[in-house]
Amino acid sequence: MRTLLLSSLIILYGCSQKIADSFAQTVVNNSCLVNVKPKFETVLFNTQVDITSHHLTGLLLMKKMQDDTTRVVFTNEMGIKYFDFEFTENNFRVISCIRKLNKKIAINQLKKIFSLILMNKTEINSYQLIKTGTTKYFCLNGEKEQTYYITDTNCTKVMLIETTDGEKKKIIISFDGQKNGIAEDIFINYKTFKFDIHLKQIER
Amino acid sequence: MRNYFFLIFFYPVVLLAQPKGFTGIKDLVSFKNKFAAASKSVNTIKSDFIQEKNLSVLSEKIKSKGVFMFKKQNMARMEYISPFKYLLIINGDKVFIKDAQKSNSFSSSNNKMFENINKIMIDCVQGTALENKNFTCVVYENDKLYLLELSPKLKAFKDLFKKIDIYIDKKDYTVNNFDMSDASGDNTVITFINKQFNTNVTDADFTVK
Repeated sequence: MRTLLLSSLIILYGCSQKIADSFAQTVVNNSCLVNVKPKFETVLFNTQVDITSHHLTGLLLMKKMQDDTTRVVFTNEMGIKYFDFEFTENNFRVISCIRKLNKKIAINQLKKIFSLILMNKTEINSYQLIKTGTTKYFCLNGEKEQTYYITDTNCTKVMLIETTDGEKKKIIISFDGQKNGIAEDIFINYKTFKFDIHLKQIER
Repeated sequence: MRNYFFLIFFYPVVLLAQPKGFTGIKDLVSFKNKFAAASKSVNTIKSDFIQEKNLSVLSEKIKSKGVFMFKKQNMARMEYISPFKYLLIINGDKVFIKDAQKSNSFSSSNNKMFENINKIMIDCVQGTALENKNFTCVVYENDKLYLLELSPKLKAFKDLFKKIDIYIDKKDYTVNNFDMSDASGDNTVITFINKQFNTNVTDADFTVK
C-alpha cells in the first residue's frame, strides 16, 4: 500500500504543473484516451497557416490506409503538394516535401503536431490520468516537456492538448465540434513563437 | 554513322514517350501561327472550371470548382467557390489573394511561383505558350486536340511540377484542360467548361486592393 502510494506520488509530482494544481489528483487507467482517439477514414480540412509574417492556405487530407498507416497530405488550393507524411503506430516517414519546407526543424514540429492529434496508441498508454470535476487531465512527463490531454468527463472527445516546458505552455491544440470521427475545427497555437494552424473540416 | 546509331537506339524511346492517343505535330509553324491568330481575336474569357487533384497512391480525388476570367493584356482571375472559397487575381505584376480569413496583395515578381503560373496562364490565352523560356515545350496532336507538353527548366519549378500538359481544342484554339503532374505521379487537372469569349468582363473584376 505504501509502495503504491509512493509510486502514485512520484507520477503525480512529475505532472504537477500549474495548470493541474487546482485539481484533485488520482491515478486511474487511461482507457478514456483510447475512447477519444480519432476514428476517421478520410477527412479534408480547409487549412490556414500563419508562421512569423507568412500566411499560407490550402487543403489538408487525412486518410487511414488499409495497412493501418495514416497519411497526412497538404496541398495548396491549386493542387500543388507541400508535403505528404505517413504515420504508423511506431514510425513516421516523409513521403514527399517541397524543398522550402524540407528542414529538420519544420518536419519535426509538423510530425509532433500531427502525432499529438492522431494519438499514437503506444504513446497514449503511457499517459497518467489526473481526475477532475468537469474535465479529465492526462499527463506524459517527458525529459524536457510535459504533454497534457484534456477530455470531457464522459470521455467522448478531446477538448485540449497542451505541452509545457515545466513552467510555460509551449503548444496549445484546441478542438471544436465533432464530424467524421474527428473534430470539425482544430486550432494549433505555438506560445513560443508566431506559428498558428487552423484546420476546418469541409464536406467534399 | 553516329546519327544512325542515335536514331536506332533512341527511336523506340521517342515512340514510347509520346502521350497515349497523340502523335508528334506535323506542322508546328502552322499551329503556332493559327494559335497566335486565334488568341488575337480574344479580348476576354469567362469560363467555369472544375479542378481535380488526384492523389494516386491514396486513391483519392479532391474536387473543387469555380469561375475563371481573363482580360487583355494581363489580367486573370480564378475564384474557387466550392467546396471552399478562395480568390486569386493577377493584374499585371500584382497578385491579390483572398482566402477564408485574410486577403493579401503582393508583387508577382517577388514570388517566382506566382510569376511563372501567371506567365503560363497568360501565355496560353495569348497564344504564346511555346515561347515561354522557363519551359521546354513539345507539341502533339490528335484529330480533336493539340497537346502542349511543358517541362520546367528552373530548379524551383521542377520541385513543384514534373510537367504541365495543356490540351487545346482544334476547333477554336482555346484551352480545354491543364494537367499539372508532380514527381510522385500525382496530378491536378483543371477543366474549363462553358467558355464565353469577348463578353462582359470588366477591369473591376480584376481589382487588386
